[in-house]
Amino acid sequence: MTAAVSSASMTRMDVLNVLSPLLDGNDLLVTIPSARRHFREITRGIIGAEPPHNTFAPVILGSISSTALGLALALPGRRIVALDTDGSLLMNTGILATLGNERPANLTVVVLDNEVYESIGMHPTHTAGNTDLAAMAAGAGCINCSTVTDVASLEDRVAGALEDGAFGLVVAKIRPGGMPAEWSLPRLAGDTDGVEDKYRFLRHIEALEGIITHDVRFW
Amino acid sequence: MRRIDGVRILGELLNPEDLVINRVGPLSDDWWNHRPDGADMAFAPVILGSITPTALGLALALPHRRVAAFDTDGSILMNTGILATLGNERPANLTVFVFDNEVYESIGSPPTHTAGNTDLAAMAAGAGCLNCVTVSDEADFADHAAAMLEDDEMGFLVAKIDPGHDPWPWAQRKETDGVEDKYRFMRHVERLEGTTVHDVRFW
Repeated sequence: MTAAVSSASMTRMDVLNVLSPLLDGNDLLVTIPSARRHFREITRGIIGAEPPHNTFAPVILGSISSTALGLALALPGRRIVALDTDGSLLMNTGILATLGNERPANLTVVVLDNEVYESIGMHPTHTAGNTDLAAMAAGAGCINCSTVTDVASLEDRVAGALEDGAFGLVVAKIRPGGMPAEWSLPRLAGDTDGVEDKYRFLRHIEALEGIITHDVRFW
Repeated sequence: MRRIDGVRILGELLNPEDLVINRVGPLSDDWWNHRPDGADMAFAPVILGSITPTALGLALALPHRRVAAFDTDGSILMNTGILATLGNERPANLTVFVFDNEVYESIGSPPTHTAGNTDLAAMAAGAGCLNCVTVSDEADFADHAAAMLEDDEMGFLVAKIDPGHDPWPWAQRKETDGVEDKYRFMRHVERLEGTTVHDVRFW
């Protein structure tokens, strides 16, 4: 295994900055906890504002695109975005075959590919070697799969994927760093934990859809 | 193409000095009847998704020895992550054969993802694997299998096969269970390699 030497110039923050203005309050985003935290800073402008209710971060590696797929199938009238990572997709590459056979038109998967397991000490992932996640996804049956390495291409591809009424998967090659792990960030007024986030996300979907998903009176 | 045709061809191409990681069930009976010289050269882990990973471990541990995996679409789809590991290790002595019948036959034949849009050879190539090919007839299978076993590079051959099989008559089914198979396979490796893998005097 060769050491990871990513030639990418983009950072995770660049990807979030591209994604943020392309989404609106009607969309739902599923992502990693640290991206959710930074997404909050972008969308609200300041640290300490309320976390975005439209963004959910399952804490289990490998469950981001899977959770987004479930949402996309359950809510076919709503635009769903998964902001996944190379480490997470490699933990559960089987989801590519499910995506490739479901191909939900309202789902766009954006993969932050930094070619390392950054939060546990920068070990290279398989994408630092021979593995091409967009090619794997295409082989699995996914449509509109591409890899981008610069901000202009990313903006172009993601904007296209969000508007085209078809499934899309965009792998954004990024360099490691530029975003501290969520657990290392200072706790701020207004911070929420994962359990509260679940309820906030659920109630947000109920409000958007005019439905009830969790009525404790049924218990 | 039927699965039994593929297994018969592999029985002719492989020799008792090679090692095979196989699937349990009818595929094991197929191999039992077509293995060269009745050798204990095959082992069948019972866990779906563990065939190619076990073969990869053997291939890396014994780089001078030819290793073949007899895998299936259902098993690879249970553990597609192995494709990325294979694509980065690319052991020259390993050839993976995938019998792709597009259904989970042993549980009532619901379709697998390869019945839809999923192309396992293309997925493997995307994951970094070398020599990824899909064949759907016996002659192509024989050609590619022979070439991949001789080329000193990793190979990944997906054989599109018809679902269904004729069960072997009782007298021709594999006579051993998985635990005995483990010991027989291990002792076979010990003899081939001139090593000791499991010496109970160490206990």
